[in-house]
Amino acid sequence: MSNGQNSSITTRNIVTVAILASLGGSLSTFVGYLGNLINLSLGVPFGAGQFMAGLHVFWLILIRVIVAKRGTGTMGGLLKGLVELFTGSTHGLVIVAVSMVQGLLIDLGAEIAGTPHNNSNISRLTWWLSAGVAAASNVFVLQAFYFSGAHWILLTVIALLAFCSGVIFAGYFAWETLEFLKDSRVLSNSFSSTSPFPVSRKRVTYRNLPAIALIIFITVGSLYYTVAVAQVFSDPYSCKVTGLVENPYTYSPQAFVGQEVTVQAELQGVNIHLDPANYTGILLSTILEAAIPMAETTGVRIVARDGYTILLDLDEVMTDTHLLLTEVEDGLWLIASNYDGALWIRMVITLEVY
Amino acid sequence: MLEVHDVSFSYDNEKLILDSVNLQIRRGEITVITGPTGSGKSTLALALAGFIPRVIEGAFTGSLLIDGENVEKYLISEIARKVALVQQDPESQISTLLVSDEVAFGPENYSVAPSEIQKRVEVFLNAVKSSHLANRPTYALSGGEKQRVTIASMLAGKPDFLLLDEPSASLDPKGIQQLQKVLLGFKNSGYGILCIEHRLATILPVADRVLRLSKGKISRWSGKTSSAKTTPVEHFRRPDSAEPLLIAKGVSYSYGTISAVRDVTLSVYPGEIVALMGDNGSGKSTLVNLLAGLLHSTDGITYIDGVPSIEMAAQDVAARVAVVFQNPNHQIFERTVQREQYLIFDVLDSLDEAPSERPEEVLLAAGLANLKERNPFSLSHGQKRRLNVSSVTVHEPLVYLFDEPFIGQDEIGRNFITQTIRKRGESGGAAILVTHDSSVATSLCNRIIFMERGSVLLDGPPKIVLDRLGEIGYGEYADLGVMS
Amino acid sequence: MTIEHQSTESGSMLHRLNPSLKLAGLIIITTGILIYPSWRFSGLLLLLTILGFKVSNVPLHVSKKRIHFLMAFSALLFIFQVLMTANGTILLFIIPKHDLMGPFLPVTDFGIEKGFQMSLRFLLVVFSSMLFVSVTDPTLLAHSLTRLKIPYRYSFALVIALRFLPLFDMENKTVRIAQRSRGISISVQGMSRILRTIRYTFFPLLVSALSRVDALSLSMDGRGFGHSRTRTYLRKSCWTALDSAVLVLLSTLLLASILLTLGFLPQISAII
Repeated sequence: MSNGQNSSITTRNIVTVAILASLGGSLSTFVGYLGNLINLSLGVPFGAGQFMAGLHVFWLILIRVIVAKRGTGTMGGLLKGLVELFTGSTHGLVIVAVSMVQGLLIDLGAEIAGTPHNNSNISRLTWWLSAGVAAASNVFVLQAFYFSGAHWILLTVIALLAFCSGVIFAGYFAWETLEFLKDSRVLSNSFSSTSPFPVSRKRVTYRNLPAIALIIFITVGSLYYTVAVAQVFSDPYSCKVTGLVENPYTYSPQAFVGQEVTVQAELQGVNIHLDPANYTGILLSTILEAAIPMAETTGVRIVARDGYTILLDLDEVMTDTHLLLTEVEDGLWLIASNYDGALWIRMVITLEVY
Repeated sequence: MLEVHDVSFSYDNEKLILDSVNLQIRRGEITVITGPTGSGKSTLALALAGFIPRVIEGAFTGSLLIDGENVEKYLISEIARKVALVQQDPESQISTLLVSDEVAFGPENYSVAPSEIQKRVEVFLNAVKSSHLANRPTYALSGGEKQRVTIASMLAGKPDFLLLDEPSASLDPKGIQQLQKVLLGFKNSGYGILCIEHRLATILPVADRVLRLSKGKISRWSGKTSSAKTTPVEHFRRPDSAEPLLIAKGVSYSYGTISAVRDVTLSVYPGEIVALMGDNGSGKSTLVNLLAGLLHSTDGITYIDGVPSIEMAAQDVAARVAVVFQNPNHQIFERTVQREQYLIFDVLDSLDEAPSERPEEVLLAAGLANLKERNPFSLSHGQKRRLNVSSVTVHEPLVYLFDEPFIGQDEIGRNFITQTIRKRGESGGAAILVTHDSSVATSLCNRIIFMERGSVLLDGPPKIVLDRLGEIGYGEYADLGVMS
Repeated sequence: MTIEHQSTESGSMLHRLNPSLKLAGLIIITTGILIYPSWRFSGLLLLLTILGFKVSNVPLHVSKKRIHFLMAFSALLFIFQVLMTANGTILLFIIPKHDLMGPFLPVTDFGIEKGFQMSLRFLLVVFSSMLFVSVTDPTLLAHSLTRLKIPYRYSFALVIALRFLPLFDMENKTVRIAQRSRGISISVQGMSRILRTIRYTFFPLLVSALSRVDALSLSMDGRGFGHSRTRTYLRKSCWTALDSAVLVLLSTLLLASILLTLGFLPQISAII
């Protein structure tokens, strides 16, 4: 049983997965309650509850380590999700998806970490990191369902909160729990030999110090990276030029220095009126010309970061000398002085010729 | 005939649990094995059912024979068709959501045709007098019903031998009588039955032969019951001037639409030791939680030491009342025995003022002094129970409320808990203990409150209440006066 | 928190559908609305779901607390989208122009449309899941999953998990009461308090739950669980003509939402 990764799954294994998934599902209301308490104590309506996200992954880690067979993480995640679905979780089927993705990530992490038998700090670190990643994944799955269009900085912050929660509760605390369970002798025969940690009376904290230090390093590092460095790569002042063009490219104002045009424009919306002002930027026709639209193309689809999309006639665009992309704090704006206010677009990210 | 020859077994290769045991179970006979806690009775059952050595690891020697054939080469699922084991806790053995599914589970696994399965479900539910339960969800059953369903589900695979491990443990006297009838019925239809029973008296009336297992060896049972002599408590006189410690005024409680306690009014005075009795499901445990201020009544009001309990903070309640619940695992919170013992001082913020000797003395009296650094969850059931009692009474609150404290206790535990309760009564406090055991009620208590369907049916001195119970159709409470 | 499942014997059309098919339906609806996020499409499916409750005679039991949550969360989703969306025809500003400041936070028609999209999507997911749960017997679901070549030992884990759920809910309550009896209260003030609160609740429950593993697996082994690769069933839903019809319908729905997403059905996507 020492390296039971591939041996067939026993009734005891199945029962263990089912019982832990069931308990995890049962306690998810309690976890939600704790999350609400934290929201309340911080005075925010939601979000801080993500600090409890790791407690959902906690069960999957327990399952994967205790049963120690390939795929039990996913199985546990699926089961826990189904249990929550059947008890009327407010997120319905979505919770099954969230939970199963978490299980899958844990299984993946377990593969990388090697046998739970392996006692090295690297192995433990891998487990803890995959716990963090699994906890953070819920943010992205939920985002895909409900918060599409959310700003990436917001997402990153919440995901990082969930990640830390995963490392703390599904990593550190899960290890403490495993040690406790072993000590309580409730995990009989089969588990004792596949223990992921040495038998020692030293406190969990001290033994895990190197892992904790590394995790802190990685967390702080990735925070720094996302806030400071990543911004350079996902430049808000850039926009893809694609579709039926000979030369698709990513537009950035720096490449067109010297070709700026300044126009005076006035926004005339139903409920908004912006007084005539001067806008400087690159004409849309200049940008599209650089991509060389193919013959027989008729229009251009302009897409904003929030999904807003408009269609313009290509011929009109190419002859319009007042239609330009200008740089504003939050990205590229389409200044469409000859058009209705609804066609002034903020945060343009794609120009697609069709 | 089911027999073991020369069977020895050890879980850890060191301590021998079974030592060259020989035993034969014959068809049409009820064999009972008794013996002290930890004597290897359950291990013997596991060996007879073939789980040892197939599923449970350890050092096993000897052989298992069914009708003279050595079944060494058989898989567990093949032995299971001949021998069925009903383990101690019926709750943990039910695997499905619906009673009929549970009974069908075995035959389904052996690919029996659905029409035949349907027949078996009907036949075996009927055999355990539970036909009316067929379409009930399993979680909504009472303890006794769960056990009968478990027995039916084991028999649905049509074994020849039925082994039962402590079948009476969670039953009330009514349930025990029903179990006796069911077992007699099976015996007469030719099953070979083995009962492992710590509370011998519950099964003795239907036993054909009684054996004793002690230190891994089987011997003839000598016929002596180990039950201590019961000396009725002297008649208790409540001091006239005393104020009641607990009061319930018109208290009711319901779980959703199900009413558990209805309009109960009572007072508990200093010096009183009350036995709270009644059938399972009569509302005893709920009443304990209400009196202890842990549940807030839907109607009526409860007072603890003169203060309405609804107005008390959790710490104030904990300082005055000690509660021991049924399952010891649900009330252990710390990681060592020592910390568990001191937890209450931590909660009450009186760690510095904690009397230095008392916690240690109580641990010593509970027989746990040398286990201080142990993880409390790793203790035996009896030890856990004693730790529960010791950790909730260490700060000597006014009132003790214990729910079935004697289940699974050996002599040491029984004495410790009895002494704890007695002392509290003598030193101006009071105690309430939930029990099915009328000998406890007469030897330890000076008052019995008997509940029926959420209400107090009788309330008075033990002798009078028990006599009256006999007259109104609860005779089994007096008859089965055995030490549990 | 209890399992709110009904027996299939109560017999409406939805109750009698093959459980795996119902699960597939739920997945298809959720996927469809995810890839083609139109509020009209969501609204249409939501109406169909409500109709499903009527057809299957399932009362729409929603507790007050639940309603509050549903309303709060859909409002949150709505507001979130409205605030995050700057494009479209501006209808008004939440903070109007005041002297030199503002105006800030525009509300646009596109933002409102996206708000509806998300909150309707959320309500659709919630209500279609509720409908699924109330017309599906989990035991039959587990049994019917074996049709999809999932070995019965695995799918049976769902039955075990749901069977123990009411017990764990009860034990959860008992542990909380036991905590109160010892004067322990839940606290989230600071990390060590949070961990203590979790320990005091998780550890007793974990030990209690895991101590049942042995008894249950012995009891299952002792009744031939896994004796052979297949088994029979006392209750198993069979595949009927109705199931085939619904399968065709669901496939059409899935195909339609894929085509709509890819822009192959411009006439229809103009409507929904």
